[in-house]
Amino acid sequence: MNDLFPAQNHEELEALLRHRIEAQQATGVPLLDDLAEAQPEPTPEFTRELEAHLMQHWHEQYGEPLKEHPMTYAQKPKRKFGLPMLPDDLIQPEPSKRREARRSLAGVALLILIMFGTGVTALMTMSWRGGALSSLSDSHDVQPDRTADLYAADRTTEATPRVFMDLTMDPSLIIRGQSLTDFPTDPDSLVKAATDIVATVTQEAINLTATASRGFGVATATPVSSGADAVTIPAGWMTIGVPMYLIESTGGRVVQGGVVRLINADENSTVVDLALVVDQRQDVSGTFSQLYFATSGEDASRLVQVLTNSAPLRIEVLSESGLVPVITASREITAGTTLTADMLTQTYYPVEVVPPSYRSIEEAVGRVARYDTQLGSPVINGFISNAPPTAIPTIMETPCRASAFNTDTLTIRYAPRFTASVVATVPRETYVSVIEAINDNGTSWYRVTGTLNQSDIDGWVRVDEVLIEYDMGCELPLILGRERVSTPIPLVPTILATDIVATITQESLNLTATPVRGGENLPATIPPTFTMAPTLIPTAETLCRVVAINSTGTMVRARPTTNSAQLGFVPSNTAINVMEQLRGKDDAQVWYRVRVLVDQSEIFGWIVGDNTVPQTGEMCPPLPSSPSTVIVTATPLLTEGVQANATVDMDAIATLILVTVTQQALEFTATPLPVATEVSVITATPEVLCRGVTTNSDGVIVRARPTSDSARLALVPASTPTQVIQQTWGDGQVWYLTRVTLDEIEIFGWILMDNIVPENGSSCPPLPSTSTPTSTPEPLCQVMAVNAQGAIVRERPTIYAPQVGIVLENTILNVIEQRRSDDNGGVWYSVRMMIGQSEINGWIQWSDAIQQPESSCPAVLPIMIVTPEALCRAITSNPNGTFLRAQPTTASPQVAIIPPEIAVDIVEQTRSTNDGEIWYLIRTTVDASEIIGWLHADNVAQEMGWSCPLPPFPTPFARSPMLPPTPIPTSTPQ
Amino acid sequence: MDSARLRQHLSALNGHLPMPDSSERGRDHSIDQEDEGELVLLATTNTDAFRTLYRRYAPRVYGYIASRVDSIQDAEDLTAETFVKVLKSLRQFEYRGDGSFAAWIFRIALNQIMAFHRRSPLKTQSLEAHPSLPSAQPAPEEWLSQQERADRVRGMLTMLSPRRQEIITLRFYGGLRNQEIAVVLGLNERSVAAHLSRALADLQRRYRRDPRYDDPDSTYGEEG
Repeated sequence: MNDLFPAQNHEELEALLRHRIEAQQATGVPLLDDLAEAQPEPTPEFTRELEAHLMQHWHEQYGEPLKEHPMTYAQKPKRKFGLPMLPDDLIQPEPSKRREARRSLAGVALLILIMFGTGVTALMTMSWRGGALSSLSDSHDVQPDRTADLYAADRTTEATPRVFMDLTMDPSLIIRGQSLTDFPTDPDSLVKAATDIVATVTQEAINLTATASRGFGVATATPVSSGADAVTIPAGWMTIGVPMYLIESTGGRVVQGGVVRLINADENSTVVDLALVVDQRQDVSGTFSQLYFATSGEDASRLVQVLTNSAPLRIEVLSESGLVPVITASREITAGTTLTADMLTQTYYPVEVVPPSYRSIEEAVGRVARYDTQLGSPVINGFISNAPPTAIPTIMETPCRASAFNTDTLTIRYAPRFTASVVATVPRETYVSVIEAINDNGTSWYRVTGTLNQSDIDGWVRVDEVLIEYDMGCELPLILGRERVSTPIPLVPTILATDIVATITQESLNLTATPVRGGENLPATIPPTFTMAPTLIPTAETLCRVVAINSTGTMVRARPTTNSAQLGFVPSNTAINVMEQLRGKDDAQVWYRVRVLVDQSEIFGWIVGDNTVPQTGEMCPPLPSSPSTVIVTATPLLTEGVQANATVDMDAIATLILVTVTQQALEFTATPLPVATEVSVITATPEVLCRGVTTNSDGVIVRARPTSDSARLALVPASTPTQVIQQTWGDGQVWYLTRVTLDEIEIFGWILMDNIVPENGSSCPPLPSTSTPTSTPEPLCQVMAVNAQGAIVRERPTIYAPQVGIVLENTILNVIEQRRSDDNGGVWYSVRMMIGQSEINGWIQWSDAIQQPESSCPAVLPIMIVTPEALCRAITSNPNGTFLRAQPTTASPQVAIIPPEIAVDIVEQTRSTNDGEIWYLIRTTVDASEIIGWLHADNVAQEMGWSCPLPPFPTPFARSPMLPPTPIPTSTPQ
Repeated sequence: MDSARLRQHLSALNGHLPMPDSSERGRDHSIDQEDEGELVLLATTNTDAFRTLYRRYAPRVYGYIASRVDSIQDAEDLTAETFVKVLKSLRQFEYRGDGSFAAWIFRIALNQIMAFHRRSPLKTQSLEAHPSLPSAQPAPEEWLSQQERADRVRGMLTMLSPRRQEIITLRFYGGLRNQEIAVVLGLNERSVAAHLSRALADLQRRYRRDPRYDDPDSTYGEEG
């Protein structure tokens, strides 16, 4: 309701409408008021003319108004035990005029019968008395218009004791066009319909009959109240309209005659009102010694005997609308008997109730009876066979079509037993195929198959519950009453075999069937057919207990992933035992391995934990967070083939991470352990100099060091984005230390500058050409190598510097510079020479060379002291060694590892821009090589004797320049 | 308007409820319904009883029929046929309590309408062709305005689905309650209520989009 309506719900709307429509009062809601005002109204002239016209019609139709109104049920006196007997003067021969009218009515009814096909029902009225009975034949009738007098008379007439009961069906009582569904269930309407019922009750008997009413009749019966035979009406039967069957006491056979509806009764009452509605398809004739009423044809426990006398009871249905010849048994016929003429006789049945039997004796002679047939009973054509018994197979070759007979639904059972579980309940209009017949313990059963709701049905039905369509040409087997052990029908049809999922694990054999093709009536418990016995009986311990909460059902799967097979559904609010829990690899959800009982079937499988809530006091232990959040970033090792553990704060992490550097790539193997806490993210985020993409279409080699002969770490495809962390010279070329992500693995390594093109807006700073002079300086002098083994050319003027080459003896060298060594005071010559096509620059010692006479070198300069200006001196203090880094941050690449107790000169101090820690730029000599880099302040201690007046920190934090791995120290002239 | 306000509103309206008057437009439900069963029983023996029933239902039946056919002549013919049928079948009718007679008579009317549409080609029902007569003789200007509003709402009714048109007309013009409508149309009473509610909401949306619509909120504000 939108905002224009003040009503928020139907009740409020109803109140508004009632106000508008009934009270003629404006509601204030324009639409409602306008709707009411828009009602077309007749003109007064039309109203008057129509009224006059109707009054004229009224007089034509009701010109002789009745002097008294039809008596309603409420006006009738309450029936009590001992109410007046029907006076004799009211039982009169039926006037011929009335008979004619009834014949006319019967003709109309026959026409309706033809139109409606099946719906004709007959009404029977019953009367009896304990051990005595009076009869009301069709030659006697009750004047319908004098029914009130019956109750007013209040006269009692002693009934004549009789030994049989005769229920006579007056032709006028046959209900035309009525079907069971038309029978009113509303008590009031039912009572209204019974206004014409006349009942007289005496101490000994109840005589009753019914005149033509509007479709229904009511019989009032009084059971014998002597001793143990007294009727006790269960309270549950007080419901009006409970359908009941009339059941013969012997053999429990349902009398093919009707559905009884209890109309009125009190608990422990001696008076019950019953209506027997007879379907025209049923044979209501017969003589029975005892009859019972029951709520269903099978429920013998609820039978109530209402006729207790041993005298036979006769029920007849007669009709004047037409008689049809019917072949009946002139004597008792047992099953398997070949019919002869002397066994049969011809009688006439009312057309409304004619049974499906043969019409002439000649048709039946020679056939074989399939069932026992009592004297006087019609020989139903379906009950006799065309072939001798020996030719009738047990399994029918041609299935017969059948449907429910005398019941609204056909109950199909798992086995031919009353106690067998119900496989399906088939509506009356659904046909099944009869494929087999047996007699089991005296009860005949048909095995039927069919389809219901797209599910195949296979089961057993009682013979008398189905109506065979004999016109289909089928041939029923002869049931000779022999005992036969029935074979239970497999409950899992072959077509459903594909829906069975069997999961065999080490712990248990889980077999769960999920009937997919409808199957709402399939048995809930499907016993599995094991092809192999489980080696272990599942005795899983329950971890915790939960309750399914998903309103649409919780899916049970074979494995803890949504990609696995579905084993079944667990309805909401089902208690579930959790035996194990883990986090799914695919979806990181918590999955429970469960054992749950659904419809008497135990299902083992996995369910998503989110579809459950824990039971009270049954909390499941928490699971660790998803290990998939672990991100490992490894720094490439400069030495190939070394296995190293990633540097992670592993204190609280029970995760083993192996990082293996191979020739081709870094390989990560992470093995999350079951109990893990929060996992730190290990990241190295060095400062990026510039960004670029790889260019070589053949791929770009990432190497462990900035040399062409170093190990290959990876082959990066072209156009791969790279981050340049550092740059340096190597092999006369510029190399970039890059970070490349390849297949989700981050790789650190060196790439030739030529293989990387800077991205737009990103340019790498030019690298100082310290190794390659841009111009050739004028030689200072010339010297000649004199060492017979060759003069060693070193990078720097110290014997500890690396060799860059060897000069053969007598080689003339141009001296660019000369200086004295600071380690031994000797003279060193800076030389440049060509070896092959390579130009080599380096230093050779004075002892390996002699000056050329024609190009003498200047006098040796005084010794230059290479003493970089140090702020103070300290020693390394970390017993495990100290990383020397290129930048004052732990994210910076490691330049070297400095052993403990090594003296270092602190030339600069700063704070890291990353973590704010104090870092020292130090210079020291390790293994005769001078190195410079950054140390964390915590890793050094001041050396004794040195005062180290460090200046205050610059603010803001100053960035120190990028340092090459092996910087060349600057010389300061003395 | 919230529920409390609605109750207040209804309470105020109830304070002005008119006394039952059977003569007023002939569709007063406030007539003692308990006597209707007796009237029905008497109607075949007593002309006054039948006349009373006729006067009680004739305007409602006509209003309903007229809203379902496209001319006054057809409406009058079908109304007459309906009551003749009622008269003839009266003895077959079983009174089953309050509302059963109304449901029965409107079911007959519905059958007449359906038979009529089967006989003649279905035409677009022009409800505008049925001017409602002013019940209290208002001033000409007021009557015109009222007529204009009625025409508007009738036009909107034709935009509803046939089922909802049926329910709205049975409710407003036939004066039937949901329970009776359910019997007439063979529906569940809840379905009728739902249809009615949605039909009114649909009508209300159309009503609001109409430029001639005056915002009723101010009216409610005054009531509040």
